[in-house]
Amino acid sequence: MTRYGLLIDTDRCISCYACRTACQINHQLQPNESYITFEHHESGTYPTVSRHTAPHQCGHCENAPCLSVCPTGATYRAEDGTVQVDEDRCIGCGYCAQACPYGARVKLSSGVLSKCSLCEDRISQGLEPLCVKACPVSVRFFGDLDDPQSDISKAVRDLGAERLGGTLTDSNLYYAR
Amino acid sequence: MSGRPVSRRGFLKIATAGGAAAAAGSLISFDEWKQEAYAEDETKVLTKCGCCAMGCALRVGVKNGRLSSVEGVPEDPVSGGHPCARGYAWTDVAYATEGRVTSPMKRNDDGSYSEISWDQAFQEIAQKLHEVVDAHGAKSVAYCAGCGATQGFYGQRFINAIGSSNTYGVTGACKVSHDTAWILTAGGEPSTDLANADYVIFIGRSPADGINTGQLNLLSKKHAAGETHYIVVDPRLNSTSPLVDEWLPIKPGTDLAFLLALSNVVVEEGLYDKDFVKKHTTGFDEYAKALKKYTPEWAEGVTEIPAKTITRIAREIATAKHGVIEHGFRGGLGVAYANNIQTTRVLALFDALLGTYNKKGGLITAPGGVALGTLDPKRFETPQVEDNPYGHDKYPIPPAHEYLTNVIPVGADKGDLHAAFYYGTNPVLSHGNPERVSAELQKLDLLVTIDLRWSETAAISDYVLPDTTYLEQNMGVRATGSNPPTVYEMKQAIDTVNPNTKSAPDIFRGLADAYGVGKYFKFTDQDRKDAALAPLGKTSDDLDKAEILTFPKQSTDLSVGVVINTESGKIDFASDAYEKIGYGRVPGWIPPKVEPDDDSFRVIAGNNPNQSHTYNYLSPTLRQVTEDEVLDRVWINAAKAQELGIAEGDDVEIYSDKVSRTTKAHVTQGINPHALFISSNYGSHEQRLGAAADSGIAFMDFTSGELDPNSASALTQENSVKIRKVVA
Repeated sequence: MTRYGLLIDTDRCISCYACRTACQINHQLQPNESYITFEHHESGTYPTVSRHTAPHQCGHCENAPCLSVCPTGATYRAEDGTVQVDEDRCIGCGYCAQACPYGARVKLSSGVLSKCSLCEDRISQGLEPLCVKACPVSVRFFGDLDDPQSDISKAVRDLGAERLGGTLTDSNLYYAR
Repeated sequence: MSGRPVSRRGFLKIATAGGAAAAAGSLISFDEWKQEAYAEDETKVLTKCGCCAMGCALRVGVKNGRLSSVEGVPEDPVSGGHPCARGYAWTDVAYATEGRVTSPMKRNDDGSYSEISWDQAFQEIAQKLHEVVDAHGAKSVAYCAGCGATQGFYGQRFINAIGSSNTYGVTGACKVSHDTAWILTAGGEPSTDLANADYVIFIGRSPADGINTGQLNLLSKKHAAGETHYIVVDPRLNSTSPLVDEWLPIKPGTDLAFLLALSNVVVEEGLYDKDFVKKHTTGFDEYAKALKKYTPEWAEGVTEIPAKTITRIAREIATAKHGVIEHGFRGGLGVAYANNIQTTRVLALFDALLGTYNKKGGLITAPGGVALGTLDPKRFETPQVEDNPYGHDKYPIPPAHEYLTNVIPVGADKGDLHAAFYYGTNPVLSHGNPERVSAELQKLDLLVTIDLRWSETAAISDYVLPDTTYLEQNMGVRATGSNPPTVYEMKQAIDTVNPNTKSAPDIFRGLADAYGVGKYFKFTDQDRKDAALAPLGKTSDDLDKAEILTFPKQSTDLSVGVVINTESGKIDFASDAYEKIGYGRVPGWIPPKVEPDDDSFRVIAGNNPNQSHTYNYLSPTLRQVTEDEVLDRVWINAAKAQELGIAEGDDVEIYSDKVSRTTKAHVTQGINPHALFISSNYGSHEQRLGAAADSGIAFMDFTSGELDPNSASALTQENSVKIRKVVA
């Protein structure tokens, strides 16, 4: 089985928000409905200062708490291993949002608790997710973590990236810094 | 039927057009319409982003006449297939309700506005324009098209048609001092071969803020590969900083001192390119003598950059394989300081000391791109007007049409200009001190704003005419000024969303007909397309078939010889032209005109990666990004903030004896203690903008009314302010 993952190199992220707006516009999301959020870290003391930006989104965890608490099965694991949401089955109870330690679920104006799908429709055609395609500084890497030759597997090794949350949920979102 | 899906609105329009449409054979059956309207297929349309001067190519998807997707275009050398955040998000402006002008508006005596018909607007404007021309001559009419203008060509032709050559772009509001110096020193602004440069100092330039995504992708990859050394010189830790090796937080306004000291080291230590200096420059000895006093130790006192750092960097860049300075766009060099011309002059001369001109990894003086053709005057009646734009006599160095927009308010004040058309720009907030520009423009007998939105300028205009977005009009053939050059047609993607808005061609045709100069507009989009392609040896069919025409990559290998586009064909370290305008035969230090004391700060401004102009803020999606990330706060150095008892998010008052503004503080280690940084994209308080008003403050409020005597720049960072916490 595939194990799709995403790696973000926070060292070179320029905090430009292209990933966010590419995702929002192409998924027809409202302005206040973003699957990608940002955390900013400043370190050092003037004049020796650096800044890191960590974009957050669903990590399609292997041990996904949002999935296990969903009472209707709206949140489910797809055949490709990603965690997906069946909007028709979602009753908007919000348990998933409570359960996700990373705040990745987004309540849409329709009432559905949605989230990043890793662009399910695109990856099924062998394309990269839109946020990866949109990044103007190429700090996002996508691929099958079980394939040692994939872009992401190489990047995990080369950049010494770490999993979000360690073993907490076995997230497939990796960060390098 | 075209291949374009018909929206419900489009269908109704066709259906209600009744007999006429039926006679023309364009009425479609309900079944046909239903089939098209519910078609799953997405039509892809190639166009160009309307957010800034970069104009990245976009391929937008349209379903049922409505925008459904936005992608970059990999063949587009401007973006390399990566539009910035605005490229995606700003498409929502087509459907935005807040802040848009959606019908022609006429100002009433009490300052309120009433909707009028297009016919009334055209007739009344034409009538008033005739009155102005009869009383003061056509030369009293001016026109300026900004970055928000969809198609400047039509307005320019209209103004020419009435007999005036006073047509201006807005480069004068962003980089005129910088470009003036390049014109004088090297015959024009060169581009930089960043693909091959391995040691680069960015001065007055942040590719991640004044965003150039094609360039960023390159820098990011080279930086990640560890093949380069990048240095950013900026009072604030700007958005490019994650891609650079060193940040030099220079005291604002002192870039000139840093550059003089770099030059001093390179000359004193004999590290300059002796062969280049001998062959392609004049006046070296005189300059070398003048540089002696500008030691790194001296510069440390002025710039706050340690002398040993300056010495090290001078040695490193001079001995690097391909060292170069990547110069400013707007940044701190464009229009900020009274010393900008001198600063850019010394920068250009430093590159001459390094001998980087027209060498691999250096500056390229050859103009890029391919030139499109224009309508043949033999076939299409073309306005003939003497080219003598207002302001040229007073500011003869910067080419007037590109650079002298700032003379319009001044001309209005002096009584030289009596009517002005502003298209897709907000001069009151963006071209100089808002109070001054507003008061001056209100002296005009006729002020017309053509724009998508309300603005401070629209709110003092006699008439406001609503444009459509770039997505709603065919914008013709475009050539990218990049290497390799590409040519494509920017097609209409979606139907007109607001029924009472018009595209630029329709607005200016309407004005021309009403004024009685409609004969100059007897051409079609197809005529323009054919004319544009003719000199390239391509036909309309060629372009339709290829969609994007890519021309051969232009050679930057100048083994044929170094080309310097000055009169002497050389770079003059000692120059009479500069002496004549007060900068000395050889350059020396000039302090900024306004020097804040120890208790004061200088307000500096710049872009965010997701905002470049105040009109970007019309986008609901971009507004939400600004709100979520609090990008409209004023940055203050953490140690200074502590001294003043200011914490993150505190309400603060920024004030001088002339002006006071209140905003929220962003406390950061990433800024020089003498500076307060404000993003230049906020601060509109025009209430008709609705939700798009009242974010942040406008840095222009802190500028004086003065203009630079040689470039007419608005000297936007010559200010001194204090800041204090607002206690409730």
